[in-house]
Amino acid sequence: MSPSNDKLRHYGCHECREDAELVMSDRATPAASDLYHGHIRECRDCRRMHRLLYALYEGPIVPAAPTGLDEEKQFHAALRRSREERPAPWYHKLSMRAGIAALAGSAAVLGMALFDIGPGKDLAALTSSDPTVASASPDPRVGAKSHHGGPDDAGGIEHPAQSYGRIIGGHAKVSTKDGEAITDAFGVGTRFEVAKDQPMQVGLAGKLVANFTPGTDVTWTAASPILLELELEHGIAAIRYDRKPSDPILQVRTPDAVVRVVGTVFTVQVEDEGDTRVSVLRGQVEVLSPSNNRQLAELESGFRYDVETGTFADVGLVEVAAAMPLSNDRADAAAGPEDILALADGRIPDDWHVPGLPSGEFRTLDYVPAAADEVPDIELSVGADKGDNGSPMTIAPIVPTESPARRARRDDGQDIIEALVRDTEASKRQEMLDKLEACRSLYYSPQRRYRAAACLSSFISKYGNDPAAAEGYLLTGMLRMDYALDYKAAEKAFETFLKRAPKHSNAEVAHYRMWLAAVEDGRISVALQRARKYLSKYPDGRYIGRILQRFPELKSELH
Amino acid sequence: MSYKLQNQPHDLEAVQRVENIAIAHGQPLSSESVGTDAVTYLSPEERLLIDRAKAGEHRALRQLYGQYHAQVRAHLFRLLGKDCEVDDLTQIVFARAFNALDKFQGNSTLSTWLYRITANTTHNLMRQRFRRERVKSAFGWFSQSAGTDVQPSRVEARDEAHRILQKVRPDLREVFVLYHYEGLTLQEISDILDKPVSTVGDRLTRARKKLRELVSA
Repeated sequence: MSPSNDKLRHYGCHECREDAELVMSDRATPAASDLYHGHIRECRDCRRMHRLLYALYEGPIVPAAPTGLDEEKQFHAALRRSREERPAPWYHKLSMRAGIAALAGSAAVLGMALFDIGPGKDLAALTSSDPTVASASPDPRVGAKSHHGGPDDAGGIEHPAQSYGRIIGGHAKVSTKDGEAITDAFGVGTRFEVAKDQPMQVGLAGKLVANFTPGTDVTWTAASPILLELELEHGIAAIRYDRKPSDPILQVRTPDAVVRVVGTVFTVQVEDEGDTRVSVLRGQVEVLSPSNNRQLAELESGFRYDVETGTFADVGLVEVAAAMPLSNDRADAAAGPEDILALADGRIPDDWHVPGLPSGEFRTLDYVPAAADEVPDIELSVGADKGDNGSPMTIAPIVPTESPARRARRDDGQDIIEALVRDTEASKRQEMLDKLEACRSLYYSPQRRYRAAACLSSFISKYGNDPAAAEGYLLTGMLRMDYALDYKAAEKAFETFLKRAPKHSNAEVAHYRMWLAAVEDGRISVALQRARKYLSKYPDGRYIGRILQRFPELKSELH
Repeated sequence: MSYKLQNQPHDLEAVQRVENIAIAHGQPLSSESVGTDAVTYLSPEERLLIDRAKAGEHRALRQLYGQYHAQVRAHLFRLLGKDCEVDDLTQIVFARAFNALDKFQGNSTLSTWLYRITANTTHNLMRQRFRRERVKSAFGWFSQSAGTDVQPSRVEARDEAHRILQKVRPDLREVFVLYHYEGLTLQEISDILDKPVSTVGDRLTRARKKLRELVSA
């Protein structure tokens, strides 16, 4: 018998069990470890012991914690419980002990009035009374309407300057409480009656971007730390909301449903008869009854829910087309956000779930299965314009049609793209001009403006060193900011533009946009610095009104 | 678990939030507004978060929940196993934490404090269950799978291991879970359970010994 076999013979179950923990924690000597493993190969009981002990020290596999709507529900349940379990205030106990009911009742009322607002006594009550928190907004419009009811009605967003929305593209009759909107900025309470021939895109509170299809009638009804709300009377609202954990929940109210969203891409449609249809492309939404908040359906991506009939179907062409201006290719963003300025290129993002849609280059509207009842009057053939190789774009130029309302709000982007074309024409380079013309046609179409960023990005990469192309950075930054809500990338583009052309006639727009990006991104101190810089640089600037609308305290800076 | 704040990277979003609130109220911005104590268990962002949560700010409570609910839930799962009450207990732990925020002095990390609340919340439940299981097994209502000829698969071994863990006395199990699964030090466990380090060490040794006996049985 070999020495090693001899050793193994003397290494029994007792020794094996003694050494088990040492071996598992890698603290046993190599020789002991060899003996241990040699023994468990031979001994079935010790092998079982080894497996169990190993599993014990490894621990159980913990299932993933709930996310999205489930997490939100759990949090609210914990909050409710905390209110229920909160100990009764001392004056209640005192009054019980005293046993004088009438006196105790009046004492309690008096006590409530005097002492009930101490820190931590009533979390919910304090939400509205503490001056350092949500009531930061003196703007009565903010949080003017919240449907949570009760103590959660905190009201106000962190800073009042954040509680505005902005028109990004398209046109509509935009009416605020004070009449028709004269700039592209608007507050809570604004109603949009979208024109019959064009859609409209808006950004709300710097947190979400929405596309309203032609003929849509929708009102922005609430903006508080816990709730953003839209009321949809008619038409289709497609919304992309990339919510951070502390951002408010979004609700879309229709005549017969409340759609509650934690973070997702979805559409809500109210038809002529008032019937509501909800479709989800990414994430998950909850559909509630507007009368009692009872859950009607929990909708996963790829599904459409008809509230009237209570039936489910696949997401269809109409919904995908409505949401296309909100497409934001995640794959690009992962490639390196520092250098990415391009937005969507007409492809349906990979993280949108569209049943029946092929993968790869076929992820375009052409290949979305359309139901028989879907109206096919949507612009298709969006995947053809590659652009990078200099091949001419296949998109026919669109002649801009401006309504008086649109002109009243002035689109800086249109000015910039016209200037770019003028400069390029002056340089007499046909190829460059063709390329820019294609981008211009995209920009002028409210249906396809979201794709102008990709086109311009390709234009910049090819002609970026040409002085005439400097403005491309400005325009791309604006589109990046408007459609992707990617403020960091937008600022980088504005900085590049200002660095290349500091004395450019559109430098004022870049400075204004830098300020706007900081406000919408919630960096108020930075926004204030930039606002002061703008006011000192352009004392008669055309954006002063918009800056003072959000920061009235800066009026003194003008003198 | 405890650390010095100088080593912690600043949460820019949190700092920005303080600035925003201060600006909204016309308060001057200063470095003091985000706290600069030399040594503390809490980072300035956490301290700020707790202040806001103490004031009842919904977003702060939500942020606290978002940051720690996975930790609490996972700990409960490791302690109690697959249990339909884990969701319920997670809610109870956070409800208690929200109500006890006023009493939190910052003498430990938030995570340690939540472990302590979890330990207090589950203590009686674990004891009740342990007693019930002991009675059951004494009456022979439970048939053990030990001694079977079939080698358990990896998943089965995990399940079996977890069943074995539930047979260990709650006070020993608690220490074992905190030390081996949560990765806490004896000192931290001592803080959480409010027991001397020597007691914690002793319980850990006894837990290991008991587990060795149970897996060898």
